[in-house]
Amino acid sequence: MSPSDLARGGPWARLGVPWSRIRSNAAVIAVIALVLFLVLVPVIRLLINSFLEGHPSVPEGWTLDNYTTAFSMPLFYEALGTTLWLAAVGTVITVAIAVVFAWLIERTDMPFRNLAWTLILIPMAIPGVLFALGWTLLLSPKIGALNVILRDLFALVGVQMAEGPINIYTVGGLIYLDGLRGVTTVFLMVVGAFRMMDPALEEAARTAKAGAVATFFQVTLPALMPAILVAGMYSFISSMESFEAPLAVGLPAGIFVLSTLIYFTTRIQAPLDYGLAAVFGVSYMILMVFLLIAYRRIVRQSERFSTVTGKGFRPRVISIGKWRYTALGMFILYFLLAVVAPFAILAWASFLPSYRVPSFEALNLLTWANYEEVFETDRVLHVVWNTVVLMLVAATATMILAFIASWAIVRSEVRGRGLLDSLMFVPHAIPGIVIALALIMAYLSPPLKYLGIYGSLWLMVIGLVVAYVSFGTRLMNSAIMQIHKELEQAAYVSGATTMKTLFTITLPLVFPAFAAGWVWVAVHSMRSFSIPLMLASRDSEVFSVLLWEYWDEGTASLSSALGVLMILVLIPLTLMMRRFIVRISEQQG
Amino acid sequence: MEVKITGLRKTFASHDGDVDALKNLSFDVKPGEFYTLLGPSGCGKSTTLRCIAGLEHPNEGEIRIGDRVVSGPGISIPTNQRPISMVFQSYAIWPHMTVFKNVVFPLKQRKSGVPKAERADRVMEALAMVKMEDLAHRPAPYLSGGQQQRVALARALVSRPEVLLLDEPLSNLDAKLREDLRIEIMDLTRRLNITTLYVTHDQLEALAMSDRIAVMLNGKILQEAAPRELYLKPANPFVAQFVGQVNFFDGAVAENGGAGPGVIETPEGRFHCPIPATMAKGAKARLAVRPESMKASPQRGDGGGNMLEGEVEKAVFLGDSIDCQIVVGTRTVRARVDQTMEINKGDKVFLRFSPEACVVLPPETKY
Repeated sequence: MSPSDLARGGPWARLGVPWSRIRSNAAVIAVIALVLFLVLVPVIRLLINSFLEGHPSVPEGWTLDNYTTAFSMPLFYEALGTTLWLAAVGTVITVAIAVVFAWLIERTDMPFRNLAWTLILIPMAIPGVLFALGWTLLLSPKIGALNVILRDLFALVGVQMAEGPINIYTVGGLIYLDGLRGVTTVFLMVVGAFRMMDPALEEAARTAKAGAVATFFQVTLPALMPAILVAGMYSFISSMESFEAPLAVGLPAGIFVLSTLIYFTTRIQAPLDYGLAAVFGVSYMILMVFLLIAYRRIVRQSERFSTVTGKGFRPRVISIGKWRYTALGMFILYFLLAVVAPFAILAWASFLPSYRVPSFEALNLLTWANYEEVFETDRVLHVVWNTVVLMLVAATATMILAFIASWAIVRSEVRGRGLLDSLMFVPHAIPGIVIALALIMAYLSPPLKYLGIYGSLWLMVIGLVVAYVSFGTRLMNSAIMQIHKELEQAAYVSGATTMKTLFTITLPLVFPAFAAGWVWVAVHSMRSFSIPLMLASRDSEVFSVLLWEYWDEGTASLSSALGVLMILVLIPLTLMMRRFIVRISEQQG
Repeated sequence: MEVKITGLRKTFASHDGDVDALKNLSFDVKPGEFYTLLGPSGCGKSTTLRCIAGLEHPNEGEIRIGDRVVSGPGISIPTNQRPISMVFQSYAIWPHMTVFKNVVFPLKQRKSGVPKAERADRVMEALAMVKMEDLAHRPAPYLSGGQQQRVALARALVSRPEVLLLDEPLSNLDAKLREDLRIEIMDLTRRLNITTLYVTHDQLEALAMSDRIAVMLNGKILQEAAPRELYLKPANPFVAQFVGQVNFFDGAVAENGGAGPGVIETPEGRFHCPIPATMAKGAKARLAVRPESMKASPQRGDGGGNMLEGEVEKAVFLGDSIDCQIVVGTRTVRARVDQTMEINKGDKVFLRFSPEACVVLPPETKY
């Protein structure tokens, strides 16, 4: 504060907001307060509970024990190490595959490039948990279908094996799953840069007598490095948060990452230890906040140096000659591993009364029984209903809150809007499992426990709103920024109130972005796994949770049938959103 | 309705601290008056208008519309409750609505008090005023710039406001259209007897349309006067320069003539001119003469008044006149010459101007 501020009566007087102005914006202020409440209360509660003993609903007093226990636990450091190692190696694999495909598909004469462009989106339609489950059926050491085939092949040359040769239940297996899984997102984030790169940069290298390969490594790749770095960092953060594969593949093998450690501490071990989990959650969250700050720095840096001008050149297509078919082969292999193999094995399992390794004899056993059971079970119908309600309510609530918060960030002149912008970014840094943990604590302890929404669908809605409101806000920020201010001001001078203006002028003008964001949140709510798994009770189960429970109970066939149905719903939705997904990925940052 | 501004101050935060956009600004617009804020970009004219609309919030001062204080210490009536309407530089026509829906919007707000049944008639009446009734059901994106501005005007007039604010409404239109709309706006505001505040950086617009003009610079009003007085009797060099072309001659008062003309001594010569009583002998002064007051001829002649002698450097034929740049000693003087005169580069000319055409101003000051 400068002396002149003091002379004028301090910062509050400087804000100079008369009561009448506050009153005319009361609705907006109330919405923002609600958003901040939803986001901040759980985070604060998590911090508080990390210093409390006992169950959150009946705390037994203050303590530092949670911290001393956590920080003297070898398992904690092991999980932290595995998390980082997994994310680092997984990201290297992901980025390498994605960059090669981006170049092949966007810049070379690889056959079927346009088809490949569409196919590479499909992995997005397969929820992470199903991807992991599919691969356990393929690569578990004894009954994994691929292992059986490999053993048969080895037997032909006289090598007999009882199990293996590949075991998915290892850190290597987790890295493999993580590396393959992230390719689509990174591809989408870098492909735009490949498309928009000024071809003159490459042409200059060619006229300087550089060959095609030298040009790629010495000019193309360095020029695109900022974009690749941003995508890589984003991929690293997503891998740090991954939960599904570590749950399905890591946990049975005793391999922990931070997210599964929290799950284990609050849902599996006896006795459950919420205080300890809170410490894990706090540590995890702080780690992610630092990563996210670093990420934002990198994004800003890379924007400063961009050689990618966005002028929409039509870059020269590079002829790669006989390598074209090698390139196509690589893409087909990727697609087989990322989509076809896991989906096929799930489909196979879904038509069997109980799981068997694929064979000609087993063909006789194929049956529709699992699907009939799925459609006849009341529990399933109830779950479908829950899932639909969750999708609709979460998507609508997230986007409306994001719209209003974003409007306040973009339009208001009051100091503190920058702070609001940063606060809206916070949930982006919190892994789903930590959001769920924090909500459990907040809504199990007074005063919020008197709302009685713990264990209901509504707490899951809150969880998803918190998880996706950052995304929604960022999306709406860029949309609202493109609306000329005077369009809204013309409504005020016409006598419209703030809320009326927001809903009759601003919202219709940003509706395409709003609707796209709505669909995005709805689809992600359907796929979401960690938050429903932590928060669901028997009554409020949703699709992904039921699927996991069937699996966990050993009914892989029913679980697979549910999974196949889910993927069949998600594929058309994903392809429908194609244009929008591409746009969002390009501005990820 | 009267608009009264008292002691308005507005600061904006910038990289190097707060910058005053408006400094203790006061003025008064009479009911039914067409009042123009004229100035270069960044002078605070739009900020002033936006404060009146309630789109910006002044740090100090009071704004009164009619007998209601709409902005003052601890008071800030929201924009939607102020008895004003406004036309924006960008037109701000809502692209997701038709012309009709744009115009009916103000009538649908709670405080308009126009019953549903009357709305369509009111809209058509407003559209008729701007000759747009045929296009009522056209979607807004299919309008040209001029049509959009007419719709914006209709939307501002439909609620029969008592105060109309116009923020550079014509600056995005081409010259011919600008002239047509200028006349229409003048006719409409006078016929409807609306108090009008008009913001522009175009001095021709301001001179042609206004009852009164305030010339602004750096958040202050330098002069407030009727167009004729502003042009003929500018109060300082900036105003003289901004509302038209002018030649300045810097010098000092040589003789103060009391009631009659005195003499100013400049490097270009001694000139007879009316000297304000406040200027003592020896005071620094700046003499202003408009180019069209300069009479040029190839001969010295024997007419009275002041005279300059020079050589034509440039002569541009403009149709209704010839714009000449004439080198006099070490400087250039501008003159508007009758279009029938034969005048060419390199010609020797004599410029004559009467003492009555001279305005004596204080020397260049910081504003």
